[in-house]
Amino acid sequence: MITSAFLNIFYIVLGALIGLLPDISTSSAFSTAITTGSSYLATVYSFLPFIISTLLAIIVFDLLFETGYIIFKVVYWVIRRLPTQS
Amino acid sequence: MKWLKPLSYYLLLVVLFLFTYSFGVNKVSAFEVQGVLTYTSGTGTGKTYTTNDPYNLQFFSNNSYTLFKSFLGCVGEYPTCSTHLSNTAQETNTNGVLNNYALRNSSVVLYYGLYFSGTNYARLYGAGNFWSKTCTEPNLQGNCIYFKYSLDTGLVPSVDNATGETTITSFTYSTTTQTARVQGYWNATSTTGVTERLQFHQFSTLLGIESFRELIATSTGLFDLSFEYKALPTPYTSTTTPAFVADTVLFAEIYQYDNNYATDPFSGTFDSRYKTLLVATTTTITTLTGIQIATSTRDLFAYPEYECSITSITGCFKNALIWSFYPTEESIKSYYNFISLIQSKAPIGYFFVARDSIQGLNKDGTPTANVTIPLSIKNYIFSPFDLGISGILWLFFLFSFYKRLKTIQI
Repeated sequence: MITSAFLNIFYIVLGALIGLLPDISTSSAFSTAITTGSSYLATVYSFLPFIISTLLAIIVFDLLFETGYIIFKVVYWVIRRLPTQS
Repeated sequence: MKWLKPLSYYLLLVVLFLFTYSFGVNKVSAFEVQGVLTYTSGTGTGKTYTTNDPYNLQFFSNNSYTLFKSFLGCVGEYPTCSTHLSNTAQETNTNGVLNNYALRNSSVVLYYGLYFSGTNYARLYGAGNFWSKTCTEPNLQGNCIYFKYSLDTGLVPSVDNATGETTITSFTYSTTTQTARVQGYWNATSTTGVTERLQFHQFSTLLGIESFRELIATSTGLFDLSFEYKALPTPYTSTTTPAFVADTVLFAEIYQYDNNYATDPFSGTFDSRYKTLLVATTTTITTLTGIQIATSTRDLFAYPEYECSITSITGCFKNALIWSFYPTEESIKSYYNFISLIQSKAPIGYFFVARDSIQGLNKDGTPTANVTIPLSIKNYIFSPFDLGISGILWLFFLFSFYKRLKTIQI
């Protein structure tokens, strides 16, 4: 009862606020670019498999590492700044 | 910059090592053939099999049929096309160590091949890439690998009496079409009451056995069958389907049923000779992305309730606490709806679009062009180059990542 009421109020309020934001575009040029790039990679992969696998692994690892680092910096900044707000 | 010179020497040694290793191991221009043959044509006088992938070719024959011989050959003029046979992975010496026949059909096309029985490794020696993807009877065009069953009566293939061993050679599934594909070889025996049956079903811990089908072998030979299976429940983004997921295992089994043995009508004892398992294989469809918040369907929806009576007061207090604090199904669903809403709104939605798109960045996409490279060039130029450059890339990544870690500030 209590938990359900709290959750419902929380999600209704947040949902109303987030619902005011614009919708994302369903036809994403980014997705199309990735799909096209994958098809090119598949062509090269047939005769250079190790190079393609290495490049993909390095790119994905770098993206994950840098994204995690940025998120950590943002969260840490918020944590440090909150007590100073008056 | 002091480390640059030793690093350059080290990289040069790595590249030299990789090139030497690639060039120094194989001393002859040969390649092993292992894979699955696909039946293409031919009845009566012989069946022809081809390979869809020249690097995925496998042979098998029946040891128990004394008159059965298997034939491996390639079409072309000697010495550009010749065959060798080996019982092990070791190479044979020269062409013609074992029975090496040259057949000539009505179109004056030469076949060079070997009769053999049992499972063997076969090596094909030749210049360049003489693999062909298809062969058609009766005039085999181009160079291709074919596989004929024939009686051991001489050079001319006659009646096909091949009886291979019952086996399942391939068991795959497709999540887009929700079908499982079973390939193999089965026998339709002529003995009264004896049948071979292929059984397919799916099993999950939440939903049990489903999609059971049984097919009886009506003809001896290769089979290629597809079965539909039920998809897993949709994950948490659905608003009407319960959010629970579980691994599903697909089973493909071939049994031999013998109606001469069944339940004894007098004693009621079941005779195990009625049903014999010949071959079985399984494959697992891994869970979808989602959150498993319950171990069973009942646990997901049922409010736990305890007995509340004058003799069990504690049950009343437990029920009161559950009513107060245990969340309802609607409130749990509202969380998943909230996540879906966030994913559809900017700017966080674009992060999910980018994440899903990057997850689609892989090597298994549909290639824009099919590049055909001669095998010798691939083995002796592209493969060592590929290995060398990828090794260098990994080394550069390690050094770059070390430098990046040194500059990180927490």
